[in-house]
Amino acid sequence: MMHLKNMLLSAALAALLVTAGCSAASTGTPSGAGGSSELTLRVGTTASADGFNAMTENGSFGKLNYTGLCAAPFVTTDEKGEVQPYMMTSWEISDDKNTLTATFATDKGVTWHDGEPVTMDDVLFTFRYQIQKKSGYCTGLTAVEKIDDTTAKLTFEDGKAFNALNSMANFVKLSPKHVWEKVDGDYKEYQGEDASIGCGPFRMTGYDPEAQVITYQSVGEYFMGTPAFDKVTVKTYDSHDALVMALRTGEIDAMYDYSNSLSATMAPSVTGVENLNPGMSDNPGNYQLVFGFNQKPTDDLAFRKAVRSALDYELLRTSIGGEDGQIPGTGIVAPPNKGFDPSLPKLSQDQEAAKAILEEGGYLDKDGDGFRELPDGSEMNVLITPQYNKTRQPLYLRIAEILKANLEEVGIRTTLDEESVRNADHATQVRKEGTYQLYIGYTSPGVAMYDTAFMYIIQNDSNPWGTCTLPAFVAAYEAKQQGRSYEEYSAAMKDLQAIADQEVIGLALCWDKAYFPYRTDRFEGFTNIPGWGVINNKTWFSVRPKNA
Amino acid sequence: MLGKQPIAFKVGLFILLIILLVGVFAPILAPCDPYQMGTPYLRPSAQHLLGTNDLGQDIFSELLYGTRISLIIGLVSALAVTVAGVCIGMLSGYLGGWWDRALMEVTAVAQAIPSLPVTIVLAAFLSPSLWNIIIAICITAWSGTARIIRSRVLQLKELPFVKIEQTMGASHGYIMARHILPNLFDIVFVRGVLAVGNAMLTEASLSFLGLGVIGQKSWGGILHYAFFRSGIINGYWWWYLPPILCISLSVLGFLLLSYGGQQQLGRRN
Repeated sequence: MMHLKNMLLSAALAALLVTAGCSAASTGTPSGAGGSSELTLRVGTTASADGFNAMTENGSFGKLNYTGLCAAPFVTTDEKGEVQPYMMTSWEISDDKNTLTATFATDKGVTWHDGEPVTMDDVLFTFRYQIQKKSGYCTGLTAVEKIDDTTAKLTFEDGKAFNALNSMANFVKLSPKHVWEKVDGDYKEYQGEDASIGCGPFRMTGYDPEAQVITYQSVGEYFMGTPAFDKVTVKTYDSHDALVMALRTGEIDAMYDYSNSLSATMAPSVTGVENLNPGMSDNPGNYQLVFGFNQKPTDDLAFRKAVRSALDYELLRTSIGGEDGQIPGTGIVAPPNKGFDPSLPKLSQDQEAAKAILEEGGYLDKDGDGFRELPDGSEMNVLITPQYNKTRQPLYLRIAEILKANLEEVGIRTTLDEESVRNADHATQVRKEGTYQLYIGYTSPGVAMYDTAFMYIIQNDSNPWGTCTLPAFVAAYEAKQQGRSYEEYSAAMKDLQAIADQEVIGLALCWDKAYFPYRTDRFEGFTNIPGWGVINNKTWFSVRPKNA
Repeated sequence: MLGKQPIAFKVGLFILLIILLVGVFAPILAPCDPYQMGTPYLRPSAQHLLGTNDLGQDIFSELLYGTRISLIIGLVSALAVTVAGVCIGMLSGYLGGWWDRALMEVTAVAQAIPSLPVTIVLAAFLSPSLWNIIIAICITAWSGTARIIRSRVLQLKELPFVKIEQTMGASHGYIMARHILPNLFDIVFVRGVLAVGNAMLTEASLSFLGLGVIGQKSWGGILHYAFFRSGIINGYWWWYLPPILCISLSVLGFLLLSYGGQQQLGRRN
C-alpha cells in the first residue's frame, strides 16, 4: 500500500510541476543595467550567434548588421521605405538610368574598427566584390570607377540604377579592403578575428558562448551622430516565448529578429504589461498563396478565380493576424508599401460563386464522388505546398488546413505536400523546378519594401521563385524594376496590383501587424519602423536613457 | 472475481474503462465535429466547454476524438511490443545455446539505444502515418519484455513438468505453447499494460514535437498547437491543461492496473 501512496504522490507532484512549468510567467520588476557602470542597451533575438564574419548575413551578428550596428551600409531606408543616405551621402542617376554618380563619406573621419581610415579604395573594393559574386542586391551593376577621393561612378545595364539603389539599401555594407584582400578563397569561409571589422557606430568586443551574448562597444563620436549609450549586448533566445519572458522580466530592453516579428497569437502576452510596449506596426510583408502556372489546373484563370472566391478570409485573418489582422485586397501588396492601391476591392468568400465558376469552366463531378474532375474528365487532386520553415511550420500547416477545408467545400480535392513540410531539400526542389500547384509562402518586410510579393510570382532570369510569365505581368514587373523615381515605381506597382486583381496571379492571405516589443522604463526615443521594429538604423543615434 | 483484486487494480480498471468508453463513443459524446472551423480563441462557455483553438475548432470535441488515436496507438503498439518481446524471450530462454546468445546480443543492442531519440529520428524519416508512428514506437520498446520473459522461461524450463514433457518427446513448439506460455500470463499482462502507457506517452511526445500524423486529432497534437500557437504563453489553460490531464490520467490508469497485477502476482507466489 505504501508503494501505491508513493505512486499517487509522485503522479500528483508531476502533474503540479507540468502545470507550473506551462503556466505563463507573471510580470516581474525590471532588473538593473546588467551589473556594469556603462550604460548598456540589451537586445534579444532568436537568431543564433553562429559566426562573426561581416561578409555574411548569418546569425544574430549578420542580421544585426542590417541595422548598421557594426558594419555601415551605403544607404538605408526610412519609415516609408524610401532610400536615405548613409556611407553614400548623395547620388545622381543619369537619364538613361544606367549611371549612378555618388559621393561617399570618405572625408568624414570615419575609421575601421582597427583604426585604419575608410577610403575610396574600400568603396571600389566593395562594389567590385558585389559585381564578382553577382550579388542580387546590385543586379545590373557592371562597373565602378573612381572619380575623386569622395566620388565614384557606378555603371548599370538595362536601366537598373534606381532599382539597385533600393535593393542594396540596408543590405550592402562597406567592406575593409585591407582586411579582405589578404584572404584567399571564399570570403564567407574566413573566420579570422578581423572578419568582424566594420566601420559602424559600434565595434564587436566579445562573445560569451555560454550566455549566448555578443557585446558591442560604442566608437564614440560618429559622423551620423554619437550614441547615448556605451554598449549593446545581443542575447540569443531559443524561442519567442523565452524572449517575451525575458522582456517581461526586464532582462532585455528590446527585441530584434529580422523578418520574424512575434506572431499575432502572442500579442496578448505583450499587451497591457507594465513598462512594455507591444511595438505594433503595419507589416509590409504578408503571407500569400502563389499559383503554379506550370501545372494544371492552377494555370487556368477560371480555376484561380474559383479558389479566390472559395476561401474564408475572415478565418485566415484571425488565424494569421489575430484581432489586429486585416482582410487583404485583391492586389496582394500590403498598405505600408510604396505604390499601394487602396481602390482595389477586399477579398471575400462566396462559395456559390466559386461553384458556378468551376461549373462554367468545365470542372464537374462526373463520377459522383463529391469531388470535381478536370475539364478533360481526368482526376483532379490539387497539391498544397507550404513553404519549408521550422519556425513558421505550425502556422503554415494551419493555413493549409483552412485552404484544404474551404476548397473541399466547393468540390476541389486537395492533398497536403507532406514531403515539403518535413524535407527542406524537397521543398527547395519543388520551388526551384516550379512544380507546385498551390504554394503557401511569406514575403518578408525587407523584400516587400521594394521587390514586393510579386518577386515570388514572376518567372524570369533573376528570380528562381515564381512561375508566372503572363506578358502583361512581366512587362509591368520590368517597368517597376526600371523605374527611375518613386513616382515611376508607384505607377508600375499600381499596374501590377491591377493585374493581380484581374488575372488572380496570387492571393494575399492576411495583412497582419508586426510586433517587436520593447521596454519603456530605461530608454526612450525609439522609432518603430514597420516590419523592422525599434532596433533599426535610427536606434543607435536616437535612443537615449530615460529622463537623462 | 473483481472483488479479490487489489484496490489499485480496480481504480486503474475504472479509469481505463472510462477512457475506453470515451474513445468508443466519441462521435456521440462530442458536441461538435472536431474538424469544423469557427471563431478562433473562444474562452470556455456553455457552447464550447473548453473553448476553441486557433482555427475555431471545439477543443472538448478534439479531446474526445484524440482519445481514440492515443488509445489505438497505445494498444496496437503495446500488442506488437509484447508479442515481439514474448516470442524473443521465450525462444531465447527455452532454446538456449546459439539462439540465446544471438537473441540476447540483439536485445542488448536494442536496450543500449536511447529509445526516445531513435523513435524521434524514425518518425521524422518515415512518411507520417498511424502505422509508421506505431513502428517507430515499437522498434526498441520490446527489449525489456524480452529480457524479463527470458529470465522467467529459464526458471520454468527446469521445472519437473517441463522435464517430463521433454522426456516424453514433446516438441519444443508444443511445450512452449502449452506449458511455458500459460505460465507467463502474469508477467505478460503486467508488461503489456505498462507498454500501453509508455506507447501513449511516446505518441504524445512525438505529436507534441510535430512528428505525429498531420491533421489528425490526438492529445499530443492538441498540446503541440497549444504550445506553438501561443496558448501557453497567453495562459489559455483550457487549451493546454486538458490534454496534459488526459495523458497523465490514462498513464496513471495503466500504471495502477500494472501495479495491481504485480501485487496479485506477489500474492500468488
